[in-house]
Amino acid sequence: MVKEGSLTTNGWMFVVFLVLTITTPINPFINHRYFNILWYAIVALFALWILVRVVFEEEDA
Amino acid sequence: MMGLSSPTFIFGSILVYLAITVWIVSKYRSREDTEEDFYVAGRSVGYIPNSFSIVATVMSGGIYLGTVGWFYLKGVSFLGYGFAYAFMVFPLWYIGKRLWPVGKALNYSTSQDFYGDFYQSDLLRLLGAVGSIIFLIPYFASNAVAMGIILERFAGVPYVWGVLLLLVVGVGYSLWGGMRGVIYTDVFQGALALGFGVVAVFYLLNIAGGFFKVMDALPKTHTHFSPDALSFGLFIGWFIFMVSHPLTFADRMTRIYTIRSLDEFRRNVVLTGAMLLLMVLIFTFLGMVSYIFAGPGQKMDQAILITIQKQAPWLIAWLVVVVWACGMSTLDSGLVGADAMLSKDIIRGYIKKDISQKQSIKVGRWAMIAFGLLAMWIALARPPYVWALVKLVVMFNMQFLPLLIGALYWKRASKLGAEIGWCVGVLVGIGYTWFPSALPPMLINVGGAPAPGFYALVINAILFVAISHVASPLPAEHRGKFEKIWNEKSGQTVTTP
Repeated sequence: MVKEGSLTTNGWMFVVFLVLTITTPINPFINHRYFNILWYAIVALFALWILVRVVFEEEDA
Repeated sequence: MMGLSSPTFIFGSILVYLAITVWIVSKYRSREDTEEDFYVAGRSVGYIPNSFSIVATVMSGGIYLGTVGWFYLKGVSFLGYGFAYAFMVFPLWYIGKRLWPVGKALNYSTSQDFYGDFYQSDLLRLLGAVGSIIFLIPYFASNAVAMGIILERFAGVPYVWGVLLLLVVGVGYSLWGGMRGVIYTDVFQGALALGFGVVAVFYLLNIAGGFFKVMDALPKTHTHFSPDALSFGLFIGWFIFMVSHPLTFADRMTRIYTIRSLDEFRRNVVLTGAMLLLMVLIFTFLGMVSYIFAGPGQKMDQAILITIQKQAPWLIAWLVVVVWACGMSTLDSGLVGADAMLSKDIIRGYIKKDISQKQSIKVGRWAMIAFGLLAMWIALARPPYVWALVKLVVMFNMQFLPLLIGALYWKRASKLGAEIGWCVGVLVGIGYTWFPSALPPMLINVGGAPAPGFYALVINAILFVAISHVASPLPAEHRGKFEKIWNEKSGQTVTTP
């Protein structure tokens, strides 16, 4: 996720995942009766997708 | 239907479950008297059993009652727990891809092997091993208490006999089968636990009228995140708590050594992530539907039991078996882990340096019996402080995180920083768990059970980094030994930030 001191695409996507995670309790756009559990599943699947890219595709992985 | 929830059927199900477990151990047990085979399954496990083993070990005895209970109490506000597991697989990969090759090259079987060797620290090796064993025993006992209570309640078996059955069978197959036997029983135990969850969620959601009806019936406190400090603290606190300890817990961390190759580990990490996602969704939904069926005001660990008894009595035997399977999967891994630490880190390290591998395994087997007897004694006496001791298990293991990451990825990581950070972290964690009123208020308090461990971890990490900046780093030649292994495995120069 880091190459020569800079974030790779996967690194940036991981930052997005972290921001989405940490801001979840205060994110007004997702705070809906039907959506919150779905939101968790979407973010976790997004994380899983990044993980697949990191472990199978990154050069230094 | 009544027959399926009768005490006889439930007890019979437990006996069938135990018989299958013992059969699995007889088929897959460690057969060589070498430490590598007995403690880390010969480093030959494929990604599917290893993933099941990680997930089954994460699912301790109380998880189907306690964690589902948290979702019953707090609804989506408890999802910090779930996000933690989505995050945790990343450090699992980055730690594992460096720990696995050094474990293989230098024949490590325990976490203390690495800490003690890398930092050239007797303190981390010895106190780490002694502390891990001391804190694991009440953890075993807490599993036995849960199993004893649930068997008494649902199968009518006296509490004492439930505790005895768990410990005799659990200790028996662990010392017979070693880590290889334990891992393959974890596949069965994990499949039972996840299978139950999927069936229960679909059945209960269906009879509750479906997802939308359940969400409509729940109060806003359960379906919406509340942006107040308390809820945010709950979210962040559990997030940090759940991220940090599976990576450093002595029994779970061993799975990084047991995998066959780094390529298998890649698949292992992804499958583990997927299974943890499924597990969290199961717990979330079961907690939510329990609120509908059991109603508010129940004790958190009773909600799912009441729900299953009322709405799906045909599932109660399966639930009791699952609670047992979760307890046993945690107990067996902990026993082999504690045994390895005693015989390798303590006896070979400090008492009898020339002990042979065969003798070491023999001593370890006796140690497992001793740990089992101690856990049995605690479980039968049920002292009031046992739950505080269990809280300390997680807190204690969390304190290894800064020095673990530092060792693998930070060139300035120093022995002094690791030792002082770890010792202060453990003392602060113990202090705020046991004597919070005698100490000044925590400067960072995320609330609830994770608070002392999290606060101690922050202090530990700050000390580790600050002291390592001014202290002498590890000798270049010593660190070079590890970097060489990492270079060989990755085929390129290792750059440590």
